[in-house]
Amino acid sequence: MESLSIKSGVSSPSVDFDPETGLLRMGGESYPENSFEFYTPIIAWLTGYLSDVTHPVRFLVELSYLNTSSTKCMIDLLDQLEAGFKQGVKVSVDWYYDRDNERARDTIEEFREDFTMPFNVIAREG
Amino acid sequence: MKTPIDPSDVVEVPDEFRNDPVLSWADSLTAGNELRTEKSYEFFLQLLEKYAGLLRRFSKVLRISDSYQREIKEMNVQLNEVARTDYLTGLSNRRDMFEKTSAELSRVRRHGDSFSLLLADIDSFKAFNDTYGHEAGDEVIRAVARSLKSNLRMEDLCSRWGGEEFLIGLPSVDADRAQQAAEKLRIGVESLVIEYRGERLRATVSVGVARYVPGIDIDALVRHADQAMLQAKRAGKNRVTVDV
Repeated sequence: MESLSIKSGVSSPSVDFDPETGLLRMGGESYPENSFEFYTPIIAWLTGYLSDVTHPVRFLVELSYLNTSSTKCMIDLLDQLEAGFKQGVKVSVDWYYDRDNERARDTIEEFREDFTMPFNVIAREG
Repeated sequence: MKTPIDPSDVVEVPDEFRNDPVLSWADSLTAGNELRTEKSYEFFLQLLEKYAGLLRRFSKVLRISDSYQREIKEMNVQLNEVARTDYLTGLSNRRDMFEKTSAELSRVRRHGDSFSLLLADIDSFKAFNDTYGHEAGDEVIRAVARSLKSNLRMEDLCSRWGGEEFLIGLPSVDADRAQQAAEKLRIGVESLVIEYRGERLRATVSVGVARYVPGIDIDALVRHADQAMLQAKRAGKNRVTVDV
């Protein structure tokens, strides 16, 4: 499977999904002109990847802002990971936030709600 | 293919749901036909569960989105605060002072109230920097700023206008009372003892006073205060001069 790599834009996050290592990274801010257009191929890639992956998958998130439609897409993406987890893939989510921003922690906790896969909210020096 | 209804298969509706509009709607869909069985309600419950799930999802997206919005709002407030504050002293900066004074002047114009503007400049400031270094100069500026602020009323405007210059606005204060206020500020600074690395520094200010007269704009008013301040400097510093 081809790796998925998208450079960050002014309003779109960077995406770096490596099928070999199982490390899937996203970072930056997400408020693209058309979030659905941006996220659809990412979610499609992930769905395909999770259907036959055999090693652990780690989703590493360093997003500091998502607009409303990106938030919706991110939950869809996390749903895919959760579905993979329920089918036996060793999925984990590590979501980093700036230590000085407690509000950010609360927001990520909102994302985590309802998921059963390992989901870590991790403080990082700003 | 139609299956006859088995009476034992009909669901008893619990009392608390009897008046629920969604149930009435389901009833109207299934009334009088063979679907009105336990199975039909099972299907209906699945449908409800699906929509309830979508609603939960929707409110989750909204909650997260609100949370990000709050973050941005708070950041905006902070940025706005930073953009209006002088970093060294915490007083209003030039931009904030300009806006507040403009607003004050339009109020004064409308209501025919009085308004005075003071420009206070630290005397021989360069000597602090030259003798003790820039940090000492900064400490003097901070100490003077604190002193000025503490000798003003809540409603007065106090800003760092330039390097060692402070522009102060006194709403509803005429020239006589402005002179008294300026004198109080001058004495306040004069009596300061500024501790800096074991040294006890003393500072004084020269203050120019300008009063609002009808027709004058903010630039002219500042110019008048500046001229009065320079006059105070020429007359020997550490004094108050009123522009006439």
